[in-house]
Amino acid sequence: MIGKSTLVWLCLATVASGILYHTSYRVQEEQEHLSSLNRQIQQERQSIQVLRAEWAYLNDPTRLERLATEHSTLRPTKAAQMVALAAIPDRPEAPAQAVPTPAPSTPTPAAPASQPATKPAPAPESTYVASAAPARPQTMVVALKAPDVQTATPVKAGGGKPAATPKATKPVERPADRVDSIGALMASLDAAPPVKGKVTLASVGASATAGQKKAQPILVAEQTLSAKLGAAR
Amino acid sequence: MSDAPFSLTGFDIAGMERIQAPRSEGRVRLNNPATHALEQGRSRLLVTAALFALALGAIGVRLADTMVFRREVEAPTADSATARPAPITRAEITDRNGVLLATSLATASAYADPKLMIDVEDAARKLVATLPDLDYRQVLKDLKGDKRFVWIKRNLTPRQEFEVNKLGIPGVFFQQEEHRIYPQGSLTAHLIGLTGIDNNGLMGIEQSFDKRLREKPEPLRLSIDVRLQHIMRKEITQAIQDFNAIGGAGLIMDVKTGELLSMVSLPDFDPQNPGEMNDESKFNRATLGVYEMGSCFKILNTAIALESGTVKLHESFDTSHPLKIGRFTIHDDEPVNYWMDVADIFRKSSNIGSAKMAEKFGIDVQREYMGRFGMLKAPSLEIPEVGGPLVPNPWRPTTLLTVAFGHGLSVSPIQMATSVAAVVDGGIMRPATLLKRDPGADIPETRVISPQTSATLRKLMRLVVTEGTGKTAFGTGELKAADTLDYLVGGKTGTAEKVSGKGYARKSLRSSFVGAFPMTDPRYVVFVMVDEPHGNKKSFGFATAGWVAAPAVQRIVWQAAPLLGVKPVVRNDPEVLQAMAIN
Repeated sequence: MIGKSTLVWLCLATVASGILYHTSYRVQEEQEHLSSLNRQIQQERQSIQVLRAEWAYLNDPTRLERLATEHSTLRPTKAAQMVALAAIPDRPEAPAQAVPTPAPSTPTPAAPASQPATKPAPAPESTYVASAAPARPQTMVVALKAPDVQTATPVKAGGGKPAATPKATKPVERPADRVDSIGALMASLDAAPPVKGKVTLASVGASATAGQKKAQPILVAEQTLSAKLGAAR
Repeated sequence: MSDAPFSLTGFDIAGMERIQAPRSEGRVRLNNPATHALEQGRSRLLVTAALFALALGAIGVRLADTMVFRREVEAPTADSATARPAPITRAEITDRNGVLLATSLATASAYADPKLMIDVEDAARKLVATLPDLDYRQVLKDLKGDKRFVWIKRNLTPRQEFEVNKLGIPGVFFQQEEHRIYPQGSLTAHLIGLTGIDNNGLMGIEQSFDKRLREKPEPLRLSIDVRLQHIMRKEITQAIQDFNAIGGAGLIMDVKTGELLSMVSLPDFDPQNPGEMNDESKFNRATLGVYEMGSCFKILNTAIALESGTVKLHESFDTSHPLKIGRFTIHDDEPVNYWMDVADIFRKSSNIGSAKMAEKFGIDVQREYMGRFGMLKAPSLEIPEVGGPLVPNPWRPTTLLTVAFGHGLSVSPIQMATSVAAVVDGGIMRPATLLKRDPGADIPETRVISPQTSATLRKLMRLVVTEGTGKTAFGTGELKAADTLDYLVGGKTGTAEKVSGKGYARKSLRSSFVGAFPMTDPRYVVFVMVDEPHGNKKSFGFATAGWVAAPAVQRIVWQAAPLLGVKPVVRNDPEVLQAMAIN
């Protein structure tokens, strides 16, 4: 005859084995999941590797240079395009007065054929930050002069349509004040009539200057200049 | 039998009953002589039971210990079985900004076991149809051979792998392999070198760092800047085209650290297509080639003359007559009929004057200083293709005079750039390197000349560009205006006649220019050499360095300086003029 205790022990053993098997299956399941995750990680790593190689390949300076020449009017910065911070005149007291002309008045010469564009590559080491204190007269500020109308190669419009030359577009009404920040420049961008094809900073600059034959710095390193203007106020 | 409440078997195993009910009167009583023996047996049984209990207890304790308390310490066996680390790949090579120059991609290579194939001819036909660059007869021959392992094609693209897999030919398998990719193509060909089909380095960095690239997964960071490399390559290509030259080489070196930011040798090759490589394109002119540098050596000659104290800056020499020594006659390209001082000799690149300066300090001083400038032994560089100089032996009096203007001692462009970097940077020499130096790393430095001599040489090198042989390249065109912004390049032109047979070929030249900028506090040295240029219309038929190499350096500097963060200054700024004035 099976005693009460026997029954209790049997129950315990059944429950224990049940828990054991359950745990064991769970572990197997998790292991499968884990290895599939690992495989996935492996695959993702490989794709990342492929994409990085692809990225490096597409960033080949020769290719970038060709694209920059084809699709934008931006050219390598020339020494003549840089202006000492001291050479930029302060904002006049009366805001209604004429636009101050920047110091170096030499218009940007037509880009010689021997000087094609450099690559505008990711440039972690390039240090064109005009960040020195405004008091220093030697500090250089990058001022991208709008290229001459002649040099500004028209932006190519797709599908063989006639390209929208900067001349064809209406000159943008420039505000009385010089555009002195990226924000203001963007605002003037919005105000500009729609240009067919790609709108680039340079092409807008070109259309902006089309009306006033003289080349002017349209984009000045924002911080230093506004600091200077702030000091003048 | 027992009725104890938790006794599974019904027997009183643990002897609980006995403890609960002290035995006053045994239930069974034996009243015979066997009693003693029975008692003895019982006590023996007790001892054995105790021993077993002890052993089982120990096992229990150990179990609890391993399963409950030492969970973390035990190796997670299930995890280690599946979470294998990625298969060891060859480390990447990047430029100083982290742009990929070489990387490895996993690819599949198809191989076959012909014994498992049902119809070899059909299989070969299908394979060739899928992989058109295979040759049907070759594949068939391979498959009909005795081998049980035949490569069909290595490094398939993922699409090809899929297509071959889709054919479903029994006996065709894939093996995961690694394929080296050079995203920048031939831009860094000589520098990085290349790897063979089994991923072993065969040239350049790939060869010299083969072990390092295999063992450490971290990318190897070079001192090269891809952007400068591109500018350099583009401009030298341009010069080679313009002047119908056979080759060229160029270097940009960081004066303060000795890091090479650019190293180009043309013609070059595509590391992805090593089959098209020939001896000419394989040759690294920047490091392996040794050349007579011509007038570029006058930088060193003048430095030696001033440093040794045998010549004063304002001392004049008679340069009106060609100098005869032995069977040689030393003459100038543009003869003058007056005496020139050191600055004039340097500016106009007078061979006669330089030789006369060398005469004053003599052979021993010259050899000693050339040794200091690292011109007498092979430089240390991290690639295997490094050429040793051709040092004249014995060092004759003729050698003394010819070395003064860069003939008779052949050195590599690396040596030239390194020594000029030392001359312009206060006289401190640092070895050239292709690896990026950590900021604050210890750089081996040796002083070769005094800061005073270095300052004078800087002014002389600037003079070459403003008023001397380099003026055509740097002084004309849009740069004419007095308030022009300028990167203050200074340097020296060098036009050497190439050796042909026992003498020199008058028409076969090698034009080079070694310059540094900004001259007020030089940070970068640029060297450009063009091999066998021919004069063109634009250069009025000239193929000398002032028309060939110097304009290339000018274009390079004008594009590179903005990237390097060098600020242009107004050329005729009184401060600059004063700093560069020779007094």
